[in-house]
Amino acid sequence: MKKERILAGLLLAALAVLAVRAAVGWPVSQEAVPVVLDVSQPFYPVYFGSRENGLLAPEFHQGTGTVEEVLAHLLAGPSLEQLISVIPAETVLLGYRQSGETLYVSFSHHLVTNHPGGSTGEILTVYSIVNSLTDLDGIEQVQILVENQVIDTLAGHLNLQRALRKDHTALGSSVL
Amino acid sequence: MKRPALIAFFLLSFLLFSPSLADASLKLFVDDVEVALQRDLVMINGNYMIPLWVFAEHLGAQVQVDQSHLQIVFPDQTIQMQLGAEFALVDGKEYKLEVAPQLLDGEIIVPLRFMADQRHLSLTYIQELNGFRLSRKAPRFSGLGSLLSGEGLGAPTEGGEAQPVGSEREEKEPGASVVLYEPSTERGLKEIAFLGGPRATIFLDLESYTGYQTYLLEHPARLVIDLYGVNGDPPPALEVDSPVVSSIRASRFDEQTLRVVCDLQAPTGYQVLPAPEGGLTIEFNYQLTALQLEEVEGNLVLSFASSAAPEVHTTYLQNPLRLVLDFQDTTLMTRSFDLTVNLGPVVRFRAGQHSPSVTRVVLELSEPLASLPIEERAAGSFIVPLFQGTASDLAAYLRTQQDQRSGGEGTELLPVQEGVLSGLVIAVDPGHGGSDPGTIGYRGTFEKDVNLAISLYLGELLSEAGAKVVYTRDSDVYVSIFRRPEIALEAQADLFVSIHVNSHIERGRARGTETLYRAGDPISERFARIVQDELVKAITLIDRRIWGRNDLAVFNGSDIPSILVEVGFLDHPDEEVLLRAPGFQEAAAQGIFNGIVRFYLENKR
Repeated sequence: MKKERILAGLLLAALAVLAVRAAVGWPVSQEAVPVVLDVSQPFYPVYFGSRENGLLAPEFHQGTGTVEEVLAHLLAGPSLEQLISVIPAETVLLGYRQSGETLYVSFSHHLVTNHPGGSTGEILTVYSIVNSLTDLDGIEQVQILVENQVIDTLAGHLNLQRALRKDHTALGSSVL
Repeated sequence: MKRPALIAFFLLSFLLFSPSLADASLKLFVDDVEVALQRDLVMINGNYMIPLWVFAEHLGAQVQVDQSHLQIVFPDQTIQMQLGAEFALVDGKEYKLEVAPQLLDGEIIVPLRFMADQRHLSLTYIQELNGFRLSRKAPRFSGLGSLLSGEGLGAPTEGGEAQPVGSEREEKEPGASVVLYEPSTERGLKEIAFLGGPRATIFLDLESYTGYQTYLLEHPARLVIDLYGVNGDPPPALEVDSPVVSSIRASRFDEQTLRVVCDLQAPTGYQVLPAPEGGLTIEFNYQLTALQLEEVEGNLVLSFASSAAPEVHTTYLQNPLRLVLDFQDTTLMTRSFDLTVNLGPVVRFRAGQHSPSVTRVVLELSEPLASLPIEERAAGSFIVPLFQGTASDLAAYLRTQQDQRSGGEGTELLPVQEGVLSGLVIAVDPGHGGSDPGTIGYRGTFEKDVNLAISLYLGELLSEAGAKVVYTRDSDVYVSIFRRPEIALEAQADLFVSIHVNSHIERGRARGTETLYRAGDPISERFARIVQDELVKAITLIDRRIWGRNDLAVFNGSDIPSILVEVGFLDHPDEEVLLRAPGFQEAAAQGIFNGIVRFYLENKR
């Protein structure tokens, strides 16, 4: 299972590097933000929205990745130009707690109040969080809280009364 | 000799319908003598008026005014008129006047053209002198030249304004002078030809003429054309087989006037045009009949019958909201009408003859409505398709249609048999509502309103097809997403259809139609695929495919085959205008309905 993941990760990373190089021109200029991954070292994905379609696409970061790091990247937004932030403006992290394989993450109310809505928008926001965090070891599902409370839904479509598992259907394959 | 008369006609039309000229200080000459006018010539309803005293002082008439009764006695003719009355008696024969004689600032004025006609005076407009000339003389088409050459007018006895003009003497086109009437000899009407065509055209082959007057009369319907300055024998009468004209006959009216009478099936507006090669062309209006507002396959159309499609000019007016359609070159053959209706957004429907050549149709609206170009439905039968939305909505819709028209697929209505869905219970779930507006478009459109509108259209179609429809909400109220599947379960619904419109996280980023279904349920998946197919076919937005999901609250609460349709993206400016438009909402409902019927029929087998 982990082996497959690493292989998939390597492939994605290679594609990402190629795409970034193709996007910014060869050779990579000094300003071009990240992302020359050393694939022999650990790296982890953080998911953002694709500019190309309504799906999620990963941005890779070197390291093993922690919950704080992943959440910090999510809230800060992507470095890659092809990606867009999917967390509503002004949203801040209020805290998180892991219980077994479930991670509870609490955001400020802006996650809901500043969200534009739409099932596509809601899926992007929720699964950028869920997919990014469930790629970390030991986390299988994520429950999103708002102002430390369980919520029914973010934008009126997804059932957020419960923890969610990684959603592969929200992942685009044609992005990078 | 023809050309000046033609030019005369053009310039006369220009002159008489050009209000700016009415303001200029026009002069009047009788023969070559300028009349000392007390005040400017007045134009009333397109007719120049002449002071009555001019006939006494310059044209040898005895004028008697008794109360309101006017008597103008010439040695050979007596003309009687009444102040304020639109008729005149010429030697006891009654004539209709376009404008009644009237008293203006202590002066009695009478219609200039009528008087010139009756006296067989040539009436000429001379641009350089900015004035009319009434002349008893023989034909003089070089009238301008003679005026400018100083022949008689070189030193006007009154009003020296003419003088400087003579100094600017130069070769002028004859078009500079307008001969409105000029007696002459040796002119004839060679032939009357009925050219037919969609506008029933008649051609009068005239060697020349000096003027004409037309009258459209009723009982029986006929168009009378008096051709002045035309002598010779009238050509034989012509029997015509046309929906407009039945026969055309000519007779001598008097020495200088040939009268052509076109017998009409019904009074029809017309236009007289001097033909470039000489002669006169009379074009009758398109006859507009069977003007109706109707619904054809769920679409509102304005239908009418005519020999061909006329040009239509549309205007929008506010307060109240109205769509005005002016059918050019048409005569409304029915009575004008003004109906209170309740057809789509149309609350009042009226039509009438707005001007001799324009039929005006006014649709008073509760919501915006736009018109599409005329389509011919069958020979002689036309429709103006109407689109429920503003003109910009329509433009956006057409743009999207054009973008998407690649596969050549149209919206095909399924041949729905009556009661095809009977026995079926369908839960229709308009997304959001009440305190939850859903997503909000650029123009402030609430998703909840669009969802409800489409859902209600859909529900109507489903009910008509015999299904029992259960709405999770049928008004603007908040219903929890967890409660919605329960409502469907309680009603023992066979199918659950949730209606939404979408938004991307970055506004305006995405567009198109997608359908979500309960992941892992092959029936829901098949249902979604067929509905998505039919919906995309109906509204031709981008096909964003179907997606299986197991995390939607409305899918979690039941095991009913369930789909959630995202019709389009409300955060995309183009799609927002579509989603707001009732016509588009109906098309979307129709597409979803087609999908439901197809799914049901295919699944039944």
